[in-house]
Amino acid sequence: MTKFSSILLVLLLIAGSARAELEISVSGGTIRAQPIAVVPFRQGPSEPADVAAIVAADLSRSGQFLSLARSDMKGFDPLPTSEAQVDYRTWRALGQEALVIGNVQALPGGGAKTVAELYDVFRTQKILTVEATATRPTEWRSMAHKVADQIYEKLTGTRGVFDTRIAYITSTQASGRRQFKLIWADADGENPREIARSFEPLLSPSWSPDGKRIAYVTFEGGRSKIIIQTPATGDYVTFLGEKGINSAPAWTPDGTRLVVTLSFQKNSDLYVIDLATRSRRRLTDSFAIDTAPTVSPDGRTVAFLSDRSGSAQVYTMSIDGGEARRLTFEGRRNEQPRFSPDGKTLALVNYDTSGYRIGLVDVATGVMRLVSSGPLDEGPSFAPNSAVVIYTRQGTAGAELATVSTDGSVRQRLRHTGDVREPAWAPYAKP
Amino acid sequence: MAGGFAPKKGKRRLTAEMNVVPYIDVMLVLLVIFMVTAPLLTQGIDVELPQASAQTLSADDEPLTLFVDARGDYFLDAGGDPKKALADQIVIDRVGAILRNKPETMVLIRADKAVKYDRVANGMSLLQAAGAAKIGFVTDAPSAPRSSTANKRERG
Amino acid sequence: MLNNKWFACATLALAAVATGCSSTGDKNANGTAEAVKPTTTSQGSAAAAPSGKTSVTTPAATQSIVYFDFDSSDLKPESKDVVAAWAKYLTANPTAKAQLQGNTDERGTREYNLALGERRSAAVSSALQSAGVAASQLELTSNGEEKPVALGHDEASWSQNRRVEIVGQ
Repeated sequence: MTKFSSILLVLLLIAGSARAELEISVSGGTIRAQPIAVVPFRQGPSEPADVAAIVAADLSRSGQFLSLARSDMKGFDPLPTSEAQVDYRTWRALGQEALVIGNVQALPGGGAKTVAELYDVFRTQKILTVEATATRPTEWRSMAHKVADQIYEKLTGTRGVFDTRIAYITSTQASGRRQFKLIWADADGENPREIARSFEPLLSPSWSPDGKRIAYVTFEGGRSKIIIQTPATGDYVTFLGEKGINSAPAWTPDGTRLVVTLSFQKNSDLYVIDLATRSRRRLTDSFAIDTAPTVSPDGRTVAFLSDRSGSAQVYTMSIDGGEARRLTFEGRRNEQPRFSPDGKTLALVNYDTSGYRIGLVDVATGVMRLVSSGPLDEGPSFAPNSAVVIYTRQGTAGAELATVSTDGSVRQRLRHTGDVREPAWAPYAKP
Repeated sequence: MAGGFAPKKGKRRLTAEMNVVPYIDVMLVLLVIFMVTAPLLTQGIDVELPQASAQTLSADDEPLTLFVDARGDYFLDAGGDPKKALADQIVIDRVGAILRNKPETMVLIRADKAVKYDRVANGMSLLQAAGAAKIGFVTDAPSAPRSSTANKRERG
Repeated sequence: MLNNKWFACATLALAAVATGCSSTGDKNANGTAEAVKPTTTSQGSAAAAPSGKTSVTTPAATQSIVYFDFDSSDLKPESKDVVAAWAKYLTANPTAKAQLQGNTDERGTREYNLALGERRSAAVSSALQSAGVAASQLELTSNGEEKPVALGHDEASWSQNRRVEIVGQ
């Protein structure tokens, strides 16, 4: 563990210019991290990013790999940058199971092309050649994440999520008042950018399926409103500002409609709103609270929270309306369901004697597994590969984010100087 | 169990069958005795079990050898060209890196018999500086029929 | 508490005199004073008056807060005085308005709590309406768990956060 933190430290120093807002640490797990050596790629001295360092940090942060520290490569100069220079005996002696070498070719205009190669040290053979490109200096980090994603996928069989983004809400004291910010950052916490800032609460960020727009709730002006914003440009529209509650926006997978909670008819109910025509259709009509909708990836089913049975439980129903079917029976309450991108799992917040914990429900069988320890966990959001869930937990110094792999084997904590919560993992960017 | 053999009330008649009840009693007692003594017996036998370490991957068994040639130059059989003489610092860096990442690696010194004792001692201190707690010396057994086999002695 | 009440009475009297003398424009404040004056002996109404009179910026007095049990929107018996005081004020001043701001503690998810906060303000609203207040005088809002008054993570803090604040406008 100390070795790992020293790697992180070194890499953070190298990262230098790009300041991370979130401090990410692997906080435990049950699997053995696979040793991997990512030797420095051949690249110019003062280029926008040390590509190999970012790849190594990504792999280590996943918890499934342990990158060889740069300091431990010092005695082995010259380090390989081509297949002919790879001496498997060296890396075997260092206990490494995989080796990554590469070349970064800077292109005119600030872009670059990286070609990296992955070797299996025990089978002494090349198993993958990776290519990634950047067109601007600001895309170099993203290029490195793409390399890491492909290496991760080759070695684990699961698509990587290093080249993705996470939106979250921070709450800090600013000049005696509580200030709320909606931030989006790279999945490694680097490159944080502000989407919205308010002295009134912000909540429920939700990415459009193409990852280009984000819907969220603001209390600016004292009342809840749903905003849809394009973070890349900053353009936004106030999508809904009805009397009463406007909350919990959830996109349909085709990106044409939002399922939201409105209470202008005296009670929180779900409505389906067409983005283009703004026409609305009432989905639920009960005396109970119906909120926190999530739409299945096939676009047919809505899961939501309702307390029609007396306590909050998760129900499912067709997006075209009809009868709601109760899905959860375990625990005293179940709130805030979220479909996984592959549609197989539903993450939710389960409340029982040990407090609020994140549960994963197998949609096919209805079996629930609790994957967090509580007592005040909430806000689950799936990574686009459906293999990791990010959520909010109560840390010692306030709310912080945490991730857990869906098999429970890897855990991370993401800390911020203030409260940080309501994470929303953006989907894979559509090419 | 024994109900079938119990004398019937009232009528007493001779039966031609053997009374097996005492035999069963004896058998059960014997069984208990064996059950009790069996574990004691196996415990009493002194067996020297083979020592197996948890990680027995064949590739992990490769020892790391520091060669000291007749001129007193150092060579390592891991990392780069094994025929290139190494500076002291490189030896520390390499061995240190290997031991940090694979602490179970066995470290051996193979020194030419003509080399000065001083160079071997220095090599040993380099290995210690790199974190090697146990260093083996490789020697050729004198006039041994299998001269190629290395005879290892460990130094704490 | 006693001091507060006396102070409230004093300001009330002063305000009544002042507004009575100055103009007829400020009907709201004037009406408040008159409506409450005869009943200053009863609990709670003394505090309700100034908060009704001094409009939005004044922080709500303790007698303008209705507390709830966990995950409940049922009015507790001890809230009766608050409701009665506000019902008296609002029925006496049909032009006056009040905002009912529902709040919850941090437990549970934010979206559920937003709905629960609104349900609490609706509970206060229906209590006021059954006491004769017009629905048009009441505005219901919910802050969910976003605006706690106590920041601890224990029942002592939570019980203070599960509340509806009645703010005169």
